This record gives sequence, structure tokens and C-alpha cells, in this order.
Amino acid sequence: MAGPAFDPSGAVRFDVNNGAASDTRGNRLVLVPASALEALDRQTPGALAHLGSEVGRGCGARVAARLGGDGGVRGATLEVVVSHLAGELAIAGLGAVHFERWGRAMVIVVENPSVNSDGFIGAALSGALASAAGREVSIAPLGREGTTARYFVGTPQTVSKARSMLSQGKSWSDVLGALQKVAG
Amino acid sequence: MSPMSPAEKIAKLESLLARVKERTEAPRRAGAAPIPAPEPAAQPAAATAPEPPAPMTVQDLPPVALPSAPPPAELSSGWSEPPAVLDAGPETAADPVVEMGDDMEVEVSAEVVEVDIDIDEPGMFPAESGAQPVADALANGAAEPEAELEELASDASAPPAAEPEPEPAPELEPEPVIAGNEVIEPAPSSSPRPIAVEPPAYEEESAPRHTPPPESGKQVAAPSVKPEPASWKVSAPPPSLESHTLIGGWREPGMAIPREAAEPRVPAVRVPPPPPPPPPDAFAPQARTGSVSPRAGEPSSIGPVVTKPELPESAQVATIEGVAPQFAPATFGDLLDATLAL
Repeated sequence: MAGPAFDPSGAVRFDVNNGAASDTRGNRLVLVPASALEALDRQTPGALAHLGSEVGRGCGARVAARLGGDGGVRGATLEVVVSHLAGELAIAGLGAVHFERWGRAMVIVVENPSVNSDGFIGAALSGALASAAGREVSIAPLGREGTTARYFVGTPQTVSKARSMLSQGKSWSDVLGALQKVAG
Repeated sequence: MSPMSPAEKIAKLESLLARVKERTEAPRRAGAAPIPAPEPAAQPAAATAPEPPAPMTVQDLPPVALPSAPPPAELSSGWSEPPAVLDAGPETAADPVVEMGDDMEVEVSAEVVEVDIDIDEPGMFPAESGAQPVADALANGAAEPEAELEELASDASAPPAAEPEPEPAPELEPEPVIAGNEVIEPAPSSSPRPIAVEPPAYEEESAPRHTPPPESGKQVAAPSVKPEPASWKVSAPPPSLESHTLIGGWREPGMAIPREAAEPRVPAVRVPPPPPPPPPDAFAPQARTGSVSPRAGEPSSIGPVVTKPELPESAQVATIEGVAPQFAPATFGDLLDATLAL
């Protein structure tokens, strides 16, 4: 690996005497039950996605901080970026994350997610990528297989096409294949 | 009849005398039934001329008929003896009886007897039909007895050369050979005398028994066709025909032709035809590989004919042209740009 390795040591500090949880830079953290987030998603649709995007942006910002900014992130190897992003999302408690490349399409796989909401997870992923790399991306959920959820990363137009094809009953692999042909 | 010259008459008489002597000297055949001497002629003959044995001329003597030997009792060849008692019927031409002495009594008969025998026996075909002339005792001609009498008359003083013992059959002429398919008529039931039969030889049976009838004129007695009794033997097929079968081949002489013989015979023993060969197994498995051709001449049998292909186990079937585009982003930014470019 050409870049720095992800070091989770001292990522969260709990000051029991002061009753505060904070990151390595001293920003305060709140431990929220996952069920509360799901309840929020049922009562206020879109609030959870916004929450999730903010959580993700925090994670991406820390990666970019370590890797030298968004340029450092874009110039870093895939493995370094994936390792730092996956490490930060794991500390945040969202689940285990790894990346798949289907042709030219980037697919983020989330296993054992804490919140059963694609809006919340997708928003967290897109926030993390945008904060780390400095480019806005859109996320389209491809589907769930047990405790594994896949999310396609693309522009808002491409994500709209993928959602349309998925709603027509096509499999996520066919959708990814079709996206490759359209792009030529 | 043309008158004969004396020399001819003498020659005939001499020959006749020689024959009589020869017969008298010949031993009698065993088994031949002695036949008593014929009785003197009937009243017409007796009334005619019981003349003393005075010297007579040949011219004056009527023809004398020597008593012929009666046929054997068992003879059934169709030959019949002229009746012993001569009736002065209308057909009798002349039947004078000349008594030439105490020991000599000659009966001359030139009558012709027609015998019609109707065979009603089923299964028999009459081989001879209609009236047939009965053979005379002597078939040598009508003048021969007459000449014989002349000879005897010349020796009237001398004892008779031989008493006219019955001879079974004068050697007249070779008997006709009876054809194999000729039917021998049985003896007439009206015959008063027993018929002694000795089986004739087969060779004699093969000769025809009848002589052709006289061409024209007065009917003359046919020569005797009585078969030779002594030569009657147990018939057997000739050596040349021994291997023949009784069907359509040699037939027992004297046997009537059964009606079945005229029709096609069915063999007595039927030999069953050989069993047909067992039919070929219609569903017998045939060769499984290669081309199978049905056997010629055999009935068609239904069976699977399988032809298996010969294919290689592995082959390079697919041909790939070109190379799929390879995307190997070196940095995370390349991958992010690629996915955003979709």
C-alpha cells in the first residue's frame, strides 16, 4: 500500500468525568440507538437520509485529513482510500464496508448494517465519498442479499437510470451491464 | 376247299401220325387230371353210321375231331372247351362221329361256340368283350383231322397206335403273350367240367391270347389259346422289371385291373414333408455398428439398426477475436471518475 495505513487508535475518546464522547480532534459525539434512527425514518421521511449524509461526511473528512486532502484521496490508491473509508464507517457503527468494481462502475458493499434503512446508509456513503474526494456523487441501492447490501455510485442521471431499470424488475447485474453499454 | 393231291394228303397224314406217336410216348405230366375218354357220340352221331371197321377210303371219312383235353380245373384264363355233348344246333356244321373200332372213336367237331361272359364283378374291367371264338381243339386246319383219319383208316387192321387219351394241350403254336394289362376272364359258370389250373409262366402270359378273326367268309374256329398248364408258375415280375413298383408299372398277370388303378393313386404311406426351418427370430439383435443390410431371401425382420457417430472427445470450437477492454484504475480518483462517467 503506497499511502498511510488506517490507524483506528484513539479515534473515539470517552471522557467519563465530563460525560463527553469525542473524536480525535475533540469533536463531540452522540451515541444514538439504531432503532431511534429507524423510528425517525418512519416518522420523518428524508430526515434520516440527511442525518446519514452528515455522518458520512464526517467520516470522509477525517479520511481526507489523513490522506492529504481531497487531492490526496483521489491520488491515493484504491486500497488506501477504501481502507480509510471503511475504517471510519466501521468506527461510526454503520457496518463493514468494501468496494467492488464492475467494469467501470463502482459498487460499495455494506455488510451487517446497523440501521435497516437504505436512505440512511446510502446518504452516509455518498457523504463520505464526497467529503473525502471532493466530488458529489449519488448512490442507488441495488438490493439486499441477507445482511449484505450493494450500492451503485454514479452521477444523479445514471443513478436515476439504474433505479428505473431496477424498478422494471431487472437484476442488479443486468443493470450494471446495461449501464456499461450506454456509456459505450 | 380245294382238293388235295394224294401226295399232299399222305405227307400230312404221316406228319400227323408222327405227332400222335410223339405225344403218346411223351410222359404224362404230373398233376394233370386224367380225363376219362369221351363218351360215344350222341344219338345223332350214333344214328348216323355205326359202321363196322371195314376198309374205308379216305375220301369217305368225315372229318374227325380228336377229343381235346379238358382245361385244367383251376384255369381261369378264359379258355373254354367245346361242349362235350354236341348238339345238332343250327350252328353245327358237321359233327359226324366215326367209330373206327372198339378202341377208336373219333369225334369230329367243327362247330363254333360263342361264349359271352358278362363280368359283373365290381372293380374289374373286361379286357375282352363281345363274342369270342372258342378255340378248336386243333387249330391246324380243318383238313388235318381228316388227314389223320385217313391215316388211321389205312391202318385199321393194326391196333390203334395209341388210345386217344386226353391231352392237356396239343402243341399247336406258341401261345400268345398276354399283355400285362389284359384282364383274364374267369371261367364261365356254366362249364360243367372242373378246370384244372396250373399257373402259367409269366413269359407265356405276356403273349396275346387271341388271334385275329378270319377275314371273311364262314367263321372258322379260332385256334386254341389255352395256355400251357405246365408252364403256369407263380408269377413274378420279369427281371428287368423287378425294381418297378406296382403302381403304374408291372402288374400281376391275370389280375384284373381294379378301377382304382385307372385313377391316380394316392401313395399308401404318406411321408410328411420335412419340417420347415425355424423362422428367424424377428427381434434378434443385429449388429450395432456399421451399416446393416438385411439378409437376402429372408423374411423381413424388424430390428433396430443403430448407427453411432464417431466424434472427437475434445476440439477447439470457439474462436475469440479481439480483446475485451481492461480497466485498471491506478488510483481511487480514476475509479471515481470512471463510475461518474457512466
